[in-house]
Amino acid sequence: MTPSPATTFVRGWVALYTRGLTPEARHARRTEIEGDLWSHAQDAFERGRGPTSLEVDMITRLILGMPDDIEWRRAHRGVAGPLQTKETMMREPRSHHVLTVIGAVLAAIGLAFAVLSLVVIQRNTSDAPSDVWAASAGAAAMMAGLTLALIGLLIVRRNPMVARQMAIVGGAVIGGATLMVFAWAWPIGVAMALPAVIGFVRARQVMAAQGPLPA
Amino acid sequence: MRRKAGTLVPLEFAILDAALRLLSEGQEEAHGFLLAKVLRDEAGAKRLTAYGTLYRGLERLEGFGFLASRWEDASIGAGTGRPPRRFYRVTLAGERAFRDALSARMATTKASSRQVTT
Repeated sequence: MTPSPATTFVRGWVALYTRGLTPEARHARRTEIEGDLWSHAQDAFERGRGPTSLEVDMITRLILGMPDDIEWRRAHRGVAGPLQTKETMMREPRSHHVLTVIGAVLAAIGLAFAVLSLVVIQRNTSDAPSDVWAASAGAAAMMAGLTLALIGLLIVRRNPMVARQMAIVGGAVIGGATLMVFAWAWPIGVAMALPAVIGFVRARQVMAAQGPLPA
Repeated sequence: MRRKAGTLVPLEFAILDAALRLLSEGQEEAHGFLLAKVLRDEAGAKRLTAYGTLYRGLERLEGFGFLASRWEDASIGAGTGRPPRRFYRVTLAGERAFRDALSARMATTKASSRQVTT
């Protein structure tokens, strides 16, 4: 059965304000609201209430409860992981934080280089169109890979597991673009992949600093 | 302004009241939507309590130890496509807190009516 607009809005809002919280808190809140939505619809059906009235009720409950949802999220935000971000920072040596900065700076430089390359490639009318297309695709792939690596570095303390995934995917995209399009310029490809490698290393360092998840 | 420890805000009082009413009718536990319905009927309101307000209130009461909750087995509602429900019941501490709050309210009401008559 197609969900009603109100149900969709409620679910969307719940998904938004539970984003980034612990899986337990997120799942509990979402399941509880799902149960309420189901019961509300069932109750309306049993009482012979029209769909419009039900929709209005749901939207009203959603809107009027938003401030409390935001407060609830703030209360739960502080326990977003095994250790709070500040504690993780304190456990790691200074050199680790410097590594993050180096990786982020390299990613930003690489990104700027890739953007510039794309502009130059697009403006180069002397090459064959297929070559222009291939080179543009390669530069765009580099940009995508570097963006992933950069985002991973920025979120590594908050969510090292996602950061590690981003580093792997970003590195794979950059490596693929180098092999397929810029094989002749592989040293540049290696340099571009450095932020992804640093991101991967940092993610492992943060996970080691956070320790195992509590039982 | 921080409230005094153990004091109940109106919604929390109303939730405990609703849960205790259901208990007196033989229903030891209630899920959020059912409590919202009782709250609406008791208040003579047109609308149910907002999602955020209701579930935050329930969580706070559970945090104070005035309510205890449990999740029902997911297989119970699976046949009808119903998501698993979270049931709440009032604890002894919750009953005590409600009685204290009710006494305080009655004392305030008496004092106010005495002021009006004098």
